[in-house]
Formats: sequence, C-alpha cells, structure tokens
Amino acid sequence: MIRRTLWLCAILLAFLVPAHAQSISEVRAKALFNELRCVVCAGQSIAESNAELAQDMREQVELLIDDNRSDAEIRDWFVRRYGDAVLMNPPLKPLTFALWFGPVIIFLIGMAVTGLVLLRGRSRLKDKS
Amino acid sequence: MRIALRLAIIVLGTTLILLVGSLLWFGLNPQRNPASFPTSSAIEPDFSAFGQGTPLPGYEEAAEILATRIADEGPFVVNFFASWCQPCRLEHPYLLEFSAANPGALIGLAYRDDPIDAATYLTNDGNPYVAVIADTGSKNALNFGLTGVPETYVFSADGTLLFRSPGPLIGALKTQFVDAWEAASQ
Repeated sequence: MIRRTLWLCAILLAFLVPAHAQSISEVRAKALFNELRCVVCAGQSIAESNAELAQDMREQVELLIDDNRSDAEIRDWFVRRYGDAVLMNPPLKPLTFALWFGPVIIFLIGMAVTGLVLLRGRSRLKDKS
Repeated sequence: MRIALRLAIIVLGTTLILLVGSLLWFGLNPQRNPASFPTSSAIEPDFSAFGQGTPLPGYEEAAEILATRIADEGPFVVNFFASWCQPCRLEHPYLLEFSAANPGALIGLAYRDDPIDAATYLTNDGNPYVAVIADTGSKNALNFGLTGVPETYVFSADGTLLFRSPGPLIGALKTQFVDAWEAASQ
C-alpha cells in the first residue's frame, strides 16, 4: 500500500516537474511574446497567433535572447524593422499624446459640460424662488 | 451669466465634435494604407543576412550575384515572392516588364517557399530577377519587416529605403512604385 502511494506520488511529481522547469530565458521569451504584435493579425500578440509570421517572430525573439540581448534591445530590434506598431503598448511620444491623453481630455470636457448644465439648473431654481 | 455658460457649452461642444470628427476622418479613410502606421522611428531594413539563403536549383548563378549586387552602383529593388502566392501572379507580368526596361535592378527573395517550387515557378512564368534566392528561415523577411507576400522595396544606390509596397504592384501601388523608382534613378 505504501509502495503504491509512493509510486503514485512519483508519477504525479513527474507531471509537476516540467511546469516548474522553466528557465529564465523561457520566462523572458513568454513576456516578450505578449508585448510584440503579430503585424498581420488583427490585434493579436505573437504569443496568441499561429500565423507563420508570428512563428518566425517568436523564433527570432528566442534567438536574440540566446544572443544575450536585453529585453529593451529586443524590442528595439523589432521597432527598427516594423515601426512602433509592433509594440502592443504604444510608446509615450509626442506623436501618441492624443492616444494616451485624448480619453482623459474628453472625459474632463464631459465633466465640465455636465457641471455647467447642473450649475445652470441650480441657478434657474434660485431665480424662480 | 447664462449667456457665458451657453457660450462655453457651445465652444466646448464644437471643439469635441471637431476633435472626434477629425480623428474619425483620418482613421476611417479607406484610401489610407493600413500598412503605413504612423511611426516616429525610421524603419530601416537590415542587410546583415542579405545573400544568405538557399539557391534555387538551376538559378545558382543568380544566387551568387545577390551578395555583390547591392554593393554595385545604382538603385535597386527587392521583391519578396512565393510560388504559392496568388497575388504575386498579378504583379508578375509587370515585374517582367520592369526588369526588361531596367536590367539588373530587380532582386527576388522567395518567402517560405520550397526552392524547387520557386525555381519551377520562375521557369514556367518567366524570371524577372537578376539575383534570386530562397529566404530560408525567413531571416531577411524579419530583417526587412515583411508583413506578407508580395512586398516590394525600392532602394537608392546607397541603400536608403525610398518606398515600400505592401502588396502587388498593380493600381495605385504600381503608380507609387514607378514614381519612387524614377526618383531613385535620378
């Protein structure tokens, strides 16, 4: 009985080990896969896409990691060839200010208009009383 | 007071409508080329793996020319193609016409293609390329920021990218290509 339990534990452990045996470069590669856009897919990262181009890009990321490049260098490598659009998170630059701050500005304008309308309603009530 | 408020609302509303309207006007324009994303960093193809690949059977000489062609004088054109690619067949007659008019200018790279299939395609449909090789491992495709086939790049004599066609050289892309080539040849 004990023996059987031990065997069972050993088999279960064998299943568990591969999940933990991730090297640092594999973890880095996975993180980068999620940051890089598959340029031929609609809004998918290369981690999600099975397109041939995404496969090529994943292989290239792994090659560059093996070549001891830093994450920033690898991102640059792709930006130089594909442009900023290859990054899932657009970089904060004067060109993308509208993209990053536009929603906040529109929200503030909305708040201002709502506030003005409410104020006007209150002043009308005052006039009546 | 009331007039000032009304005026403020009108001004704010108009600004908002103009802002959103102009974004939609530019963003949803069907004439806009979806491949040309606005980007602040210059896109530069990398020639470090140029000339590396698998020669097409029967086109070994054309593979050897490849490495030396870009070092030669004069502007050149790099065209990615594949035997399995249907849109490539649309531009193929024009490529033949172009290379007849500009001998030695057109370089071909077969993308994700079997070298035998690519060679058969060129033998049957005509070979417009002065230099051609199969881009094994998609090394050059990645270095050039390729998004699909066919894709065509016009370079000036010093290797500066002048124009990139993200599709077959027909219609508007062909017109733009012709203009870019004329500018490169001057």
